[in-house]
Amino acid sequence: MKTALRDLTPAATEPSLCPHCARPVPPRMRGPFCCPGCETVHAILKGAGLTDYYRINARGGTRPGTVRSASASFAYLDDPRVRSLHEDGGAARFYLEGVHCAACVWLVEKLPRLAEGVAAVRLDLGTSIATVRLKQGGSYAEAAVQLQRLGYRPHAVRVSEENDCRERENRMLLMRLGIAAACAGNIMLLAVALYAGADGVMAREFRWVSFGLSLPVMLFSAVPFYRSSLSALRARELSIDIPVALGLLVSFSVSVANLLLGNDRIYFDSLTTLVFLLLSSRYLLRRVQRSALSASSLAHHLMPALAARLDHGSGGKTHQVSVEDLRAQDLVEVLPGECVPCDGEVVSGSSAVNSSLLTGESRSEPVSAGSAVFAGTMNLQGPLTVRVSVSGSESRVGRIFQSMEESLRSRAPLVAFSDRVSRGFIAATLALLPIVLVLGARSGGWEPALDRALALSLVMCPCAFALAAPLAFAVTLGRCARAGILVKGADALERLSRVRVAYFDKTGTLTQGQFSVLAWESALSEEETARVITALESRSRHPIGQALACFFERIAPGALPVVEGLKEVLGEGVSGTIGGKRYRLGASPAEARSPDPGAIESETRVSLWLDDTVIATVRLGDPLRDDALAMAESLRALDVSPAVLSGDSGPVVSHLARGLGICPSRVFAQASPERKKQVIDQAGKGALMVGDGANDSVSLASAYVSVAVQGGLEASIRAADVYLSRPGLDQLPRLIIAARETMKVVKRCFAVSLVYNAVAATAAVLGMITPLFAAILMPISAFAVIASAIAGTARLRRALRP
Amino acid sequence: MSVIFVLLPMALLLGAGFAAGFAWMAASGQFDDLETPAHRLLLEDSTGLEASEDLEETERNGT
Repeated sequence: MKTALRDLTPAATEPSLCPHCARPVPPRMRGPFCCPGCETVHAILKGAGLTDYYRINARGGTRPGTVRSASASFAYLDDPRVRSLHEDGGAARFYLEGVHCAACVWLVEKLPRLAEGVAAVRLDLGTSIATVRLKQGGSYAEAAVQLQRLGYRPHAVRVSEENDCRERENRMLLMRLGIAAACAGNIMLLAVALYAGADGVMAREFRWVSFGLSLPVMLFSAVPFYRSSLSALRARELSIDIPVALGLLVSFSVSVANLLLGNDRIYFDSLTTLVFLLLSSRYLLRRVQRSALSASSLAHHLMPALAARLDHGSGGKTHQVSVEDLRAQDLVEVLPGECVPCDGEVVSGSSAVNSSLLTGESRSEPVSAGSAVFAGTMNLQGPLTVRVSVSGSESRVGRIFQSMEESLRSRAPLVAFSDRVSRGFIAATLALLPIVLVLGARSGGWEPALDRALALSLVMCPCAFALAAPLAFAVTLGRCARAGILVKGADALERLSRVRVAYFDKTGTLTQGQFSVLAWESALSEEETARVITALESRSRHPIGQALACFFERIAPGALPVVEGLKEVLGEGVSGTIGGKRYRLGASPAEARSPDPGAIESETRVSLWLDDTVIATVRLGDPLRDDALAMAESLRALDVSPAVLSGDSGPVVSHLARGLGICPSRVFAQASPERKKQVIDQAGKGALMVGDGANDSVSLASAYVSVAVQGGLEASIRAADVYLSRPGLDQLPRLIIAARETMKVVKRCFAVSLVYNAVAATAAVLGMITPLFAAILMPISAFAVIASAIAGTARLRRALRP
Repeated sequence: MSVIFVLLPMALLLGAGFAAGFAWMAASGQFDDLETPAHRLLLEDSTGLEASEDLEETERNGT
């Protein structure tokens, strides 16, 4: 056997870029495109005269996914029964995957040129929801197919009560805000004349007009304050709206009484301005929350939206239905390459499934009749028929999303603290008011005393203080989510800001966790070996097979030889006949493994057999991630020391740690899960564990704060505080910066609002500020604090730029 | 100065008209999405006529 160890430096020629998605074109492709999908989209755009897309979108287009019998899979959208679920006022809404920039808006809204029956499309960039309006007799299926062909996978959004309700509330709030603004502005104009010294008939007239203008504010705009105070009182709690509502009602009654008595002490200007400014800050808050993470949008990305239901008594004919329409005991067909749409039991067929979404285990497991399968797992080999037990939000993966949504609402200790302080403030204000009133009345009469009490009730409202912390956290969580970092809740963010040591698992965290070819030797010519291996593995879904195909197709690009009788046996490998010669590719037999001194323990050897002789051997291993070194550097710059915690043997781990500049005292090799937990426990507060959600769940769960970089969603979300949904270790230092900056923002807001409250309250008690001044000062301070919480710091914004 | 008794109601009426207009716009959802239109404005291409027709139609239908 001729052996020649070949050096594996990547080909020197720079690959050309795909004209559609601007990604490198693999040499296997003939022509300029990187994949048939891009070629199709390019042709569609060119045919419809939409090549302006490339001018607008410098970064490259959205890469289309695999389109599988597209027209059939959306036909259900035009079923009258299904249609009634999604259609509202002649339009249906679709959540689109892959929307990211202004060019997407441009392209999606050009849909009427591609789909005959579509009248108009509007895309909301903030929520990725497109509203599709049809012409008479148009078809949603057609629209959906075209969207899919453009690379935006559509999911029909059901008309839901909750969403409608939220939308109505937002619009109502804006209306209240507008009315309050108009009235307050006009009252201000009249008030200026009154303060300037208007008297006689004119002054009386102006006072009555101000009264008239304040009515819409009191009766319409201020309603939310009354409502929330009432419900808080009913629940025997203190809410920040109580002093506001109290102040409004008292000042309004006093003003009306004075108006009737002909006095000039009226506060219509103060109270309308107060309502306007408070409503503005609430509206701002809602706007921010709208774009924060919603777990449902995550579910859209990861769960199948459709299922092929087998019709009763139709002889195996299937019908595409929405996953939500599946009932228990329904039978669904799952083809290879598809996601299982529901939890259930396999009735017929045998195959292998990959449940890495749930468990993080990348090895596939065989299933046959009687096996349980879960929504979100991928069917790899043969068609399966599955009997539904539960689907949608009831399924295992659906419940994970729900629990995640709940933990997102959990409050950080800092937020709980700010709540306690605000309640103390309100109680103090309510207790102080009568004292100020009585003492003031004794010394200088009722009227100035009332002024002081009103001013105090307004300036003491801890609006800014109460809103700052939750808002700052919500903004950062939303920014993280948009950057692909799922943080479990505000408290995780708070703990992340205190991290001092970061422990890394090796496999899959610092290394790629994926096989790639390290070296190979063959008795055949380079090109022939590559052709044979690529042909055998080109359809493989096995991680090793895919690594082989990916590697060897670069060596021998071009048409592949035809394989006859291709067979993939799980655990054994693939075999097939090429040009009359029978080849088999599989794991090297144990005796063939020589104790190579340079070999890394975790490496795997694969052999190619011609009939019964080994003709080639390939060594695969798991190389270090490209950005691991840069990440270690940036962590050190942040005063966080990196450490390695691995189950692998000493030499391998210390070699890797040396490469990353990690101090030997922080390297723990040959660590069992128990040992890992022990190390983490000893590290105590300030220890960050970074690992794989599946294999390191024990140490992740016991760490002060933890980040899962890969592995299944279920295990990761359950064990870790943070899940990085995109590859790239550089996110870690950025996340720590963001957490620290968020804490800074919160503290900044606390300091500003406390100083303001102390100064203003003293001034109010001493009678140094009028109620009007208080009414302007209070919302302006709240506004300033809220604006600063939303803006964050420049460093925070930079760290989380998507 | 007595002209103010004519001007004031007129000014108030005008103001009320604008306030009502704003309330109607808010109710019809024109302020629901404040982000996308900013991008959309910059993206009109050579065949802008057709695109703006699409948009107007959508607006009329109150999306």
